[in-house]
Amino acid sequence: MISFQSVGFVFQNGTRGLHDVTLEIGEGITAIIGANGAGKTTLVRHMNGLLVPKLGNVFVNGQNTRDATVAQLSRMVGILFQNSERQLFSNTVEEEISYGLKNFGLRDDQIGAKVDEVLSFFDLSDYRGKSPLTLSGGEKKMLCLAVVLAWEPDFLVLDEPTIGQDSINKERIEALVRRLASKRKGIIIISHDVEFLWNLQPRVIAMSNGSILADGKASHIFSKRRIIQKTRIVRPQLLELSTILETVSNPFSSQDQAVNYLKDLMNKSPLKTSA
Amino acid sequence: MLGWILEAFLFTYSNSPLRILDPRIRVLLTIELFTLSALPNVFVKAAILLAMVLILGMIGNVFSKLLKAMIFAGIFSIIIGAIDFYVNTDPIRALGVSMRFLGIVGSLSIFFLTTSPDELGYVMKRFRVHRDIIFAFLTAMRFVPVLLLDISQIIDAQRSRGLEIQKGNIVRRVNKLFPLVVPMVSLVLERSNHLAEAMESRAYGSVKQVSSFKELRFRPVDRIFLAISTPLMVLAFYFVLKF
Repeated sequence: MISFQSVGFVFQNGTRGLHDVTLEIGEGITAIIGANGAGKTTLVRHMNGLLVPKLGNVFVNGQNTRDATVAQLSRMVGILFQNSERQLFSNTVEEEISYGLKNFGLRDDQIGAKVDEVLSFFDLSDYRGKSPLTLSGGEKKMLCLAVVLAWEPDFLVLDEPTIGQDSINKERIEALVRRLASKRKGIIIISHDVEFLWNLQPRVIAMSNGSILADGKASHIFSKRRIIQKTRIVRPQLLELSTILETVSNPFSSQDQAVNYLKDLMNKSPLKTSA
Repeated sequence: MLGWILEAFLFTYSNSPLRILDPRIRVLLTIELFTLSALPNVFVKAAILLAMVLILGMIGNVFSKLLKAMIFAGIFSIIIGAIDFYVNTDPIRALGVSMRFLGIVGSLSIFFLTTSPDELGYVMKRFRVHRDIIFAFLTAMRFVPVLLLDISQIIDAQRSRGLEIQKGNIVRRVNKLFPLVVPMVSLVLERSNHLAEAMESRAYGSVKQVSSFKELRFRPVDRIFLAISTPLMVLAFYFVLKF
């Protein structure tokens, strides 16, 4: 469990980062949405101690982040940064994955087993001996995910995971998130990609000006016009279309029924792509 | 820490009497103060010049940032003073040498804090520096904050992978820089390549003589400042060299 208790944070230049944030994040999928500068990244950087609150406390699995190092907290909370490809430096994909594991003090035999496991999990076994810098954008993203998941953190933070990814890669990431969530991991996703989030139907935390604007189910949050405006996102197309359908002629008893009808239609569509 | 130091040398817009002046005058003022600060070893003269630099920092509305430059330079200033004291065994002279160094760094800091890269470009152009050299110089200046941000992101990413730079002996610590240096170099090369392509696609270098959006022109306030400051500077040079 990650727990924020009345957390406040102000940057060195006086900009307010977080203001009186109180929330708890457990297992399952949690999405954080908000306009640029709303405090989303600042919030997640508190989770592994990269930032320490000026006011209040952050606890990760009961451990106060003030009393632990970034390395200790990162063992529990793995973060995949927005430009994660920039962290790649090793000669080979294998070394890149094992780097974090060595830092966390795993034994050689454990490292070998973990590397094998994540390479096959992410279909990267063929690239084992290749330089990470020669991989394509999508492969680099997968490698960075593999790097973080190798040490099996309890929580995984994904900062804009779908940026620059094609539809197949997006579906792969989506499938991965579902798989991890089913393993009782906590997945925290920062994203402006509402279509991606809508498919996952996560718990959504909407942020604005460093504060929590709303917290609830995706279907609830995305149907609130005020939140949509404040977080500067576009409503998911399915939700938009169902609203239009309701307005034009209302053959459905509820919006959920309309959404399910449209989902069925989309699944039957011959244009549907799959990974 | 790096960001803190660079704050003492990177331009940020502020309203101040110094900003009203033509950037060429600011260049002249910096050269004069730099030279004056470099000349004396005598404690009193160095102290007066350092005071002048600090007053100019106040006029330029950059005093707090100038103090950062002084604190940073202070570390080296102490070392320089200690070496001078070791060689000459004169504490007053050593103090003068230390202050001289602070004056040099301070005058440079004021110049960079009050002169934007664009203004520097205009000045260099006026002095007929080659366009490519101006572009390279200004690009390097402009990219400092961007690179700082990149460095901090890379450091954060590697710390999140368990990297603890401050732990271990000196050899281990140097080895730990490897995961930071490699992505940094790769990123700089990537950025420079992108910039080169962007500039090329915007027709950089396609004509020999380019037009200018803004030309530097002396205004009455510049002439008045020059008329007052030049005799004062001549006097200052006379005072420093003669006595």
